[in-house]
Amino acid sequence: MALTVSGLSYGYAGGKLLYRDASFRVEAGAVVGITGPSGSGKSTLGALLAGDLRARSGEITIDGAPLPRRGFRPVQLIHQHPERAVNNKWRMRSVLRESHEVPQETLDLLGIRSEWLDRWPAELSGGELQRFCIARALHPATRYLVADEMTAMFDAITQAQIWHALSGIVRERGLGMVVISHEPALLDRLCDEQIAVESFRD
Amino acid sequence: MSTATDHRPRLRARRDVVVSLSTVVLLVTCVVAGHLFLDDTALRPNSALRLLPPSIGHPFGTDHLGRDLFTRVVKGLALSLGIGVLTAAISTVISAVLGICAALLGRRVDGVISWLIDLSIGIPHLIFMILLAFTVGGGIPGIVLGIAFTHWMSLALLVRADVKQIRDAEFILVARGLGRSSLFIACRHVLPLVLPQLLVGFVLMFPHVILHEAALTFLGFGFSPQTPAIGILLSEGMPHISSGMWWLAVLPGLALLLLVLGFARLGDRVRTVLDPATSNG
Repeated sequence: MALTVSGLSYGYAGGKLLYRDASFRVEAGAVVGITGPSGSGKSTLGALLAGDLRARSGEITIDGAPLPRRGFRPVQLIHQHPERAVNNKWRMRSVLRESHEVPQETLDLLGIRSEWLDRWPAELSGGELQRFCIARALHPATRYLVADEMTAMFDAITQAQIWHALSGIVRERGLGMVVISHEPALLDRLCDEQIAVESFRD
Repeated sequence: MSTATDHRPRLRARRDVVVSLSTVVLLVTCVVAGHLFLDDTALRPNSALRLLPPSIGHPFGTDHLGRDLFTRVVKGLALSLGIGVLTAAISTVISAVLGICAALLGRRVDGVISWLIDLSIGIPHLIFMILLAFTVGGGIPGIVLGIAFTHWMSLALLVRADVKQIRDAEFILVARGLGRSSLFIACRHVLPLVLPQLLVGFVLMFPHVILHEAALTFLGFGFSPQTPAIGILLSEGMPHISSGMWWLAVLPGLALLLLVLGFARLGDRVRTVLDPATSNG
């Protein structure tokens, strides 16, 4: 039971390859950190894992099966900017429902108050919105989470609250998690293992 | 310096919308009320009343068969309004469906639809319209389909460009990752965002339809001569202009102009208010 990447290569049109023959695995229940300076391809790797981008060559498999092209993807990506990841013309209740009926217990764990459900995205702070994005990604069929600089925009207290809540849920459900960040302190605290994106370069 | 100054152009644009909207509503109300309440006996030929100039009893005068011209103009405009709504609605739907499909369903679909758009723009539209109307057999279906099928391209291009800008937005990527279909994304995410564009397209389409309906009818490919359509009135009135009976062509023409300008102005003003790029000016 693992999210495995083998022989992955990817580069943007007209540019050098970001990774050549990258391979690693994320066991279910494990937390793996991806580090690297800005522009080194951390977010691109997240998009590849989530299936938003398709690799030039190489293979990504989930518990032995290839990434599904259609339908629900068991690898869910949580973006850095929650305000871009929700449609600002939808109320928060609909934003959650696009994924599934999120149980009250999950809402409580993430600190989502019931009065927020009837608000528009513009009426919530970034930290509050990000909690909704996390709740949305925690679909019952989700096996792995990719958190791409998920809390980089928030103050220390909000960061701590969000990570505390999410780590608990991830551990309880036995999900695998990839944490993309350039903050060593955060990665040291959360991850069982850390991989530097530069190591995929050659 | 003050923020109050910055809002003035926007406020003026909004006031313009209200003014042109009231004009259009007033005109439409008059036409619809006239259509419902004007006496049909005024449309019967009466040889005693032939070719009378405008007067209190006959505000627009009478035609060569002694029919009251004002009644005929009102009935004609009512017909034009109905056809305008129907045709503009059909062409807006075509534009929306093709524009969204082109932007959302991948490169191959985009290629086919773009080719269709280029092809349709390439054919001289008046000829295409006449051919279509002629094939369907004239009358209301001929006019509606002829105009609708030749006037969807520019709005489809606008919609396609708008959707291309948002199709890679993160919230749409998230929706795909959650297993949502392209149909769901088109209806729930994309359509609400292009709705203002469609609304403006619909209103601006409207005067176009009315003019083309009059043109098609004037050229003999639209309504049969018994129908009190504006195009028929104009083509009947034209020969009489040279003999001094100006009201037969001028007054129906002016009435048509008023309605068309009202709608064109409304569409223009609505676009100014809805489009942030122009409303800042």
